[in-house]
Amino acid sequence: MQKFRALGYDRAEAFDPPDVAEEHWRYSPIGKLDFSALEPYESDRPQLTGAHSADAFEERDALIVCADDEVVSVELSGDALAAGVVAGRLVDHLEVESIVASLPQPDDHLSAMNQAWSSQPLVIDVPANAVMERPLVVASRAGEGSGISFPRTIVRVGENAQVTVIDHQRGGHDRQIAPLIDLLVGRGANVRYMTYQDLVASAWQLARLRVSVDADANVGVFAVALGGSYARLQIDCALIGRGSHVRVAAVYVSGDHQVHDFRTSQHHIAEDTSSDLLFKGVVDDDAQAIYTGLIHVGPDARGANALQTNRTITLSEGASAESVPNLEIENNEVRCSHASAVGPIDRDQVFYLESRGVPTARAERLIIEGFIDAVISEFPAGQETVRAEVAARFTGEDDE
Amino acid sequence: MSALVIEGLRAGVEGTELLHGVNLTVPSGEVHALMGPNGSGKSTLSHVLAGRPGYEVLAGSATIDGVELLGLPAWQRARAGLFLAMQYPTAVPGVRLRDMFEASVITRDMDETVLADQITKEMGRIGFEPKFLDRELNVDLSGGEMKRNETLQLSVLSPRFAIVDELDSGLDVDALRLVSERVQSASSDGMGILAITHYTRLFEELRPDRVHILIDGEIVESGDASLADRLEVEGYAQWQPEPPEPEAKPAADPFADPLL
Repeated sequence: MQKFRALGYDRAEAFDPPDVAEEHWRYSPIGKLDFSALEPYESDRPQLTGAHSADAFEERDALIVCADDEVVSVELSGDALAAGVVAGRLVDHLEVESIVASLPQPDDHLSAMNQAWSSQPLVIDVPANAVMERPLVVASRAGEGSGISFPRTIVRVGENAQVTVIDHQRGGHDRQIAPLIDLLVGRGANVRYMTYQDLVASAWQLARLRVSVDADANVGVFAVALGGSYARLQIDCALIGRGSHVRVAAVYVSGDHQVHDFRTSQHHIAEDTSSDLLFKGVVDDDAQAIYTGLIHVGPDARGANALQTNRTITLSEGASAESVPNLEIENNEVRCSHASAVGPIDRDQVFYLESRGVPTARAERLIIEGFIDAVISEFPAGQETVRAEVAARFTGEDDE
Repeated sequence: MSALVIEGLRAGVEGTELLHGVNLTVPSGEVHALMGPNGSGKSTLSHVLAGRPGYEVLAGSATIDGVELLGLPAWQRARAGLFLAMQYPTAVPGVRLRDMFEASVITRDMDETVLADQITKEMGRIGFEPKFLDRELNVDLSGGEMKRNETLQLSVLSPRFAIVDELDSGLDVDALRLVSERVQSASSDGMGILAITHYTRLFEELRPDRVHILIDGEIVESGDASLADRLEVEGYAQWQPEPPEPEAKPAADPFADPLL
C-alpha cells in the first residue's frame, strides 16, 4: 500500500492540474478551483449515517456507509456472506497486493491525487459464480465544510458472477469531493452499477468511474446527476475481452446555476465488443450541461458495434448545453454511430396535449418526465426514488 | 342550443395571411363539412381555432356559446368545449394515452372507474385494442391506428364541438366505416362536428347537414349535402381562379444522354 500511495504522489507532481484550456476540461468552471490552495477536509464522520440510502433501497444485500473517504460501517446480508462477498477497507482485504496490482495506473492529476490521499479505499469483492439477487448499496456521505476529499472504491466482480451495486451520494455542503471508482468485471459476469448523485447545492464533485470488462461479460452503468454546484462525472469503459458488452445510461436534471459535466469514453479493445450509450437531461434556469463523448475503436477490435446518443431539453433562455461527440476508429470492420440534440421542449407536443385539455405546465411536465423516464425505467433499482426526486424538481402550480 | 360561431376570421403564418375573413356557424348536433382543394386553408382554420403555436390571428372571433376562444391557451379552449382530431397527430414520446386521459381537465371530475369503463367501451366500439392505452401517444402507430386513437379521444372527452381534420385519410374501408359511424353517433347525441375533408367518401356514413367550400382562405359557397355530390362530379374548377399560363419549357438538348 505504501508503494501504491508513493506512486500517487509522484504522478500527482508529474501531471498538471486540470485546466480549462485542455479539451478534456473545456466548457467547465474548473478555473474557479485553485488546486494549489486546496486543503484536506476535516472529518465529521460521527454525524454521517446511511439512513437515507437505507430508506431509498430497502431491498438490499449490503449497506456500506462511507464518510468522505473513510469506511464507517459494513452490513452484509446472510446471502451476501454465504456467497463469499467481501466488503470493507482495502487494507484489510487478504488479497490487497493482487487487487492493487490489477488496478489501472493513475493517468491524470486527479487520479494520482486520489491514489496518494485517499485515506481508506473501499473494496467490494464479489467472487466468481456468486449470484446476488438484491443490490449492494454504498451510502456515500460527504461532510460539511471546505476541503477536498478523495473517496476511492474498487468493485471487483469474479467470473460469471451477477451483482448490482448502487453508489448513493449525499451531503457535501461547501465541500470538494473527488471520487475515483474502479469497476473490474471478470469473464462472463453480469453487472449493474449505478451512481446516484444527490449532493447538496454547494458541493463540488469531480468524479471518475473506470470500467474494465472482460470477455463475454455484460455490464450496465447507470448514472443519475441531480445535485452539486459543479458536478463532473467521467466514465471510461474499456472493453478488453472478446464479446463483452456495456450499456451506459444517464439522466441529469440541472437548475439554478448548476453545472453538470459528463465525459465518457467507450474503448473497444477486443473483437466483437459492443457498447451503447444514452444520456438524457433537462436543464433549467441558468444551469449548464456538458456532454463530451468519445468512441474509440482500437486496431484489434474487429466487429465492434458502438452507439452514442445525447439529448438535452433546455427549459429557459439562460439554460445551456454542450454536446460534443467524437469518433476515433482504427479498424474498418465496425459499426459506429452517434447522435446528439439540444433544444427546447417541442411546442407541437405541448399543443397536442393541450388540445386534449391538459394544462400547459402539466403537459410540459408529462413530456419532460416521459423524456427521461426512458432512461429511469432501465435502472436496476431505486426507480421510484429517482422518479420522485425528479418530479420534486418540477413541482409547480398547474396554470389553471 | 349551442353553436360554434366563427366571424370575420383572418389569420396567417409568419406574416402571410391565409384566411381572409371566414364566417361559419356550426350548431350543436349538426355535421358541417368543410371542403376545398389543397392549400385552401382548411387545416389552417382548424389549427387557428384550436390554438396551435405559430398561427397568428389578425381579426375576427370564434366563440362557443359566447365564450371567445381566440385569446385562450389551447387547453382552455378544450375546456370551453372544443376538440381537434388532427390530420397528422403529433408523436409525444414518453407520454402514454392513459397519462393524457388522467391529466386532462376534462376527465378530472370523472370517477376513475367510470372513466376506465368509458374508455374500454369506446375502444370496443371502434375496434381499438386496449393495449393502445399504454402506448406512447402516436409513437410507432400506423395511420389507421392514429385515426382510431383520435376518434377514441373524441368519444371519451366528448366535447361540445369537434373539428375532425381528414379523418378518412389512412383508414381502410372497414375502419373508416367504424370511425365515421362513431362520429355520426356523437353528432346524434348533440356534438357539433366540423369535418374537414378532400373527398366525399367520408360522407357515406357521416352525412353532412351543410357543406362549405373553402377556396384561398374564403368560404365561396355553402349548401346542403348535394353540394358535395356536385363536387364529386365537377371538382373545384368553377371556384378557382384561372391557373397561370405554364412557362414555356426550354428546348430539349439534342445531345443529352437519353438514359438520364
